[in-house]
Amino acid sequence: MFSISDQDLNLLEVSEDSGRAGAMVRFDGIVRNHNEGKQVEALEYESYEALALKEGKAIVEEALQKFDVYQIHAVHRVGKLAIGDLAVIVRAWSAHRAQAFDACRYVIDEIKGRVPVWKLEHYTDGSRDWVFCPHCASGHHEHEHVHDHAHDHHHDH
Amino acid sequence: MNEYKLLFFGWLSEQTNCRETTWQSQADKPAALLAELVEHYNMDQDRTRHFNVAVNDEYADMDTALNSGDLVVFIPPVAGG
Repeated sequence: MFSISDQDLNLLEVSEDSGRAGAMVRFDGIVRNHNEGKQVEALEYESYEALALKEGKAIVEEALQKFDVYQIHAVHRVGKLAIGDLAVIVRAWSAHRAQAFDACRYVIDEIKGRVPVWKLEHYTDGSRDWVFCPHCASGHHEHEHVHDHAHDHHHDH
Repeated sequence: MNEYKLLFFGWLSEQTNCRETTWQSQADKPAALLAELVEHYNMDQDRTRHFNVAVNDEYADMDTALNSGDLVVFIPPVAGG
């Protein structure tokens, strides 16, 4: 399943109760204190919830079809977050670890590229800006890379 | 003349200074509708040219045929995760 939450994701209890799973891979997206060379103090996530839920559920369904996993749970935060807070959690359960790793990776990559969520960063110098990277949103990135658009920069995710 | 319901999110909501509105438009496709908004709100086209669009809560193409009454939401590059 996929959900959007305005509550601390640490409080979320999720389990797979069938007894079939021998592995659970979990990805945590964490609010970090820097981005694009700026010191980040806090951030806000905003979603277009109706479409975000549809797209998130579609991604989970795709992963369940592609990989031999029993269950997938993904949740994305909205609202105001502090450094160290959890922005997103993806969990995938499978009989063996490889499929759970693959499914977890697929789901977080697709979330980052497709789910309509936007991030407003507040910086320690008092400024703020919406994160705006078409290449990141395209989902066609893997590791540290160089963008060819107006604000050329290196970053990783 | 068509009438569309528009929702604005993120950067776009700050540019338009609103979250939702009803928009009278000559446009029959999202691309033309976005051009009207860019002109009306004097938005930076370097940013808006990367937008996607959703029509009635489904991702659509910029040349999708619109019908009066549609809910149209322009999607700035997403930044979740």
